[in-house]
Amino acid sequence: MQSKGLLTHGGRFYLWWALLLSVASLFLYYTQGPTGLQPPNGGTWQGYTLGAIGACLIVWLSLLGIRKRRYSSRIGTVAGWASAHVYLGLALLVVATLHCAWQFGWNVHTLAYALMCGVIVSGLYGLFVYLRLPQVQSQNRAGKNREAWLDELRSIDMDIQSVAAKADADTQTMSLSAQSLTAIGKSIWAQLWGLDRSRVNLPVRGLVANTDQAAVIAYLARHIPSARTRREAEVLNELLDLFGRRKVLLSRMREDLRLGAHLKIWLFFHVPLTLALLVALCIHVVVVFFYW
Amino acid sequence: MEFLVRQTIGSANAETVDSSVTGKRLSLGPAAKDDVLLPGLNSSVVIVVKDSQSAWVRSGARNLMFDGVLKKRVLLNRGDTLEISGLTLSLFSPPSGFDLGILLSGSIDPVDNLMTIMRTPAVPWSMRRMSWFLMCVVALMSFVLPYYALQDPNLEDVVVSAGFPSDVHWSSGPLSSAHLAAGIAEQCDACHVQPFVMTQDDACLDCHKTLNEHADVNFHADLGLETMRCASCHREHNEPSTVIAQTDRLCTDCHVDSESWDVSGAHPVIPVTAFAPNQHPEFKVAVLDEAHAAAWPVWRREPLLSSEAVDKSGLKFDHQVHLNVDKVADEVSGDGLECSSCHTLTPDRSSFEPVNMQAHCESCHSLAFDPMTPDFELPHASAREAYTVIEGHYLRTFLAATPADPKTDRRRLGSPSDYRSVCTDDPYTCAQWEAQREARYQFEDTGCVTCHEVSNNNNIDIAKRYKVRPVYQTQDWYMSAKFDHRPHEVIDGRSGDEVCGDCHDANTSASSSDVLMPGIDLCFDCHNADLQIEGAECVSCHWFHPDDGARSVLARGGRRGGNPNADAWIFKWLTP
Repeated sequence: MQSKGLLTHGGRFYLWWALLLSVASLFLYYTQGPTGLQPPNGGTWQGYTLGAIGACLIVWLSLLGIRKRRYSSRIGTVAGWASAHVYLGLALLVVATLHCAWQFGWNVHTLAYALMCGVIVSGLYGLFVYLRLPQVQSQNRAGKNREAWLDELRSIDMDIQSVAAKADADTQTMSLSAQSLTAIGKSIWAQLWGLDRSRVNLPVRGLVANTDQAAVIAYLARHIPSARTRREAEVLNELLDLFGRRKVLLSRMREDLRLGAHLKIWLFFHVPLTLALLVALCIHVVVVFFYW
Repeated sequence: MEFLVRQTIGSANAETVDSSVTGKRLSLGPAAKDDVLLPGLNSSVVIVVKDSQSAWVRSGARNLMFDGVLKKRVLLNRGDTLEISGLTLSLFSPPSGFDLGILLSGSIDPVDNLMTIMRTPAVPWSMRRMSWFLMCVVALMSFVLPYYALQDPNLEDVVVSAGFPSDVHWSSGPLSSAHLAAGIAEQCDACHVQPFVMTQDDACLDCHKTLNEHADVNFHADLGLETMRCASCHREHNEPSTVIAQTDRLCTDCHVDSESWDVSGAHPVIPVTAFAPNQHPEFKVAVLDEAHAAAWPVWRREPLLSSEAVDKSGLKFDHQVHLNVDKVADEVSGDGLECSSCHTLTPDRSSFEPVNMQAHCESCHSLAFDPMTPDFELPHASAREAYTVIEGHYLRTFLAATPADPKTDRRRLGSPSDYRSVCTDDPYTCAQWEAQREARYQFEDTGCVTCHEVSNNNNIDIAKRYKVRPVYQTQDWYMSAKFDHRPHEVIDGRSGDEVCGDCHDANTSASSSDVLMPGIDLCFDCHNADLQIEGAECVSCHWFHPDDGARSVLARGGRRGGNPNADAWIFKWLTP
């Protein structure tokens, strides 16, 4: 709910500021007009003005990272800063595009623009995940957290080990291998896409993929009807039940990991791109006047 | 290095199994390549001996629990304990022959393993490292490398040939096609001579040496034309390219109230606000100023619709007759003349090459004058030269005639027999008589006088009596404008004489004094600023820098560029 306040903070005060800035920038841009000595570009007085506004905006937007860590600061609330960050960050796209007047090229100036777009796009994605994913994550967790899941998983695994001890050697080996070869998002891609690269050592077939514990569950389900004794069938049934619970638990953990990765990954691009943008912005300003 | 690895086994870790490994380092992990196989570990752990008491332990994942913190690298001393996914790792004093003793106890807990993974950041690099990396790449490639390449030509060659960015990538936009030349296109300092200083006029005038100021800088000293920086108007690195400013404001800002200018009546400048009806003065055409014509041709401008607009070329020519196929046609094909039979466009297609006697007239208007010698022609030269040739011809003719008949004592002219009937006096007298007769014919009746204006001073010797008026063909009818025939050669699918006739009404012109130039209203049909039709900009027809006048290179000589005051306020503010 707090994340939604990002947009509605202060009666969308900064939305109106951002719109006002965009409209003023458009007005300034069109005063360059078709009757000028030159087409609209960053070198007219309007272009310089838009560029100066854009540069100040970039620097100020970057300061959010500092402001949110200064808990004692009284320069506005963090929520207000974040709301302004979102709206004025979007207005920056308008200001900067009008500053360069849609003139792009293979040069340091367009590099700065591209980095700025990268920052804004990653920020937009961040905004999207902050608005959408916490709710999904909360539903997935159903009041639990990762530590509780791990405790539950440990408990299930101990049960599996004690039940499997009553089964034949093949079933024991399979059960233990299913546990030790369980994988949760080792790589960034596995985390972002919730990939399950678990494996299991099945009797006869050897190592096979065990996505969603499907291979081990299928093995157990297939062997219950052919159990030679009632006790063996009960053991297999218990294992089937435990692996079913394990599957559900692992799915939730994997989903939690996926949502967490999406909540963090954008910042991994947003912050470094912002710092690279600040460097590119300085270079842009310096070389514009170097070759004036 | 000799490693002794001791692993506890059994439910109470009561028993141990020793194994020795030789190598620079020891690796523990789930892969077959690892020295000690530990299934279930999510990444390999490498141990490197520091000294007999300690070793570096490094893992592919942040799963080394040391002092309650998960790390990727740990310096483990003897007596320390390290936990890896439920497995405990410590060092012990090995027996002689071994460099390091490693004790592994406990077993790998799959759940601990998962816990480690879930606590591990999703990305391979920290945000800080990623930030530094990107900042360094941007700074290096965008500034540091191009800057140092700029200082060192050898380094620049290496940078450019390797495909790395150079100062060319500092350019904010493409150059106009005129400046895409060797020595300019990729040589930024050809124009940007001094860093952090605006492009100076010297850089422009180094190449544009023949450029003239817009007006006489002395007469219009108050305008300070020569103090305006070239780059105030000629802007580069823009899309679309505007190195030649197209805006009418460039002209109309001043010319809108030109009536108020103090020009002392010398050169009245008519106000103009746009190329549209009632906003642009009537065209003026070039008229030969006869007061000067005797010495050298001087043209002045007269309104096209005034009585002064007369073609005073000195030629007599009837377009109406020449374009009438019933009167002038090719003897063989029967085809009539076309405009292009006599008028050839100049290479820049702005005007036409002068009409030439030899190329355009002589095929019909032969200069042969003696029917007895049709191959012998008069020179297309002055009247005196022509008379000299006529006189010489007849002297040779009569002297070559047969001697006088003794019976009659009359000089026989011999063949052709016609000469016998012409003159019976001595050859000199006959030749003079015949030459004078031919001269009168050429200069008074028909011949030279057909096409040329000839004056006759009867009081002096016949050799000097006739004067053919020099021919001055006007090529540049609109002296203050330029016209490109190229886009006008085909209009609505029509071409040739049909299109020529749209603007030049030659079919009805019976006199060479007619000025066959179109008026402004005809141009308005296709070019009209009021209707926002393309090609109505001032610079579509006019040059800002005239062909003659004050040379910019002299007017601005010794100056380091123009006047910053001529630029926008931002330049004033930013000028160091």
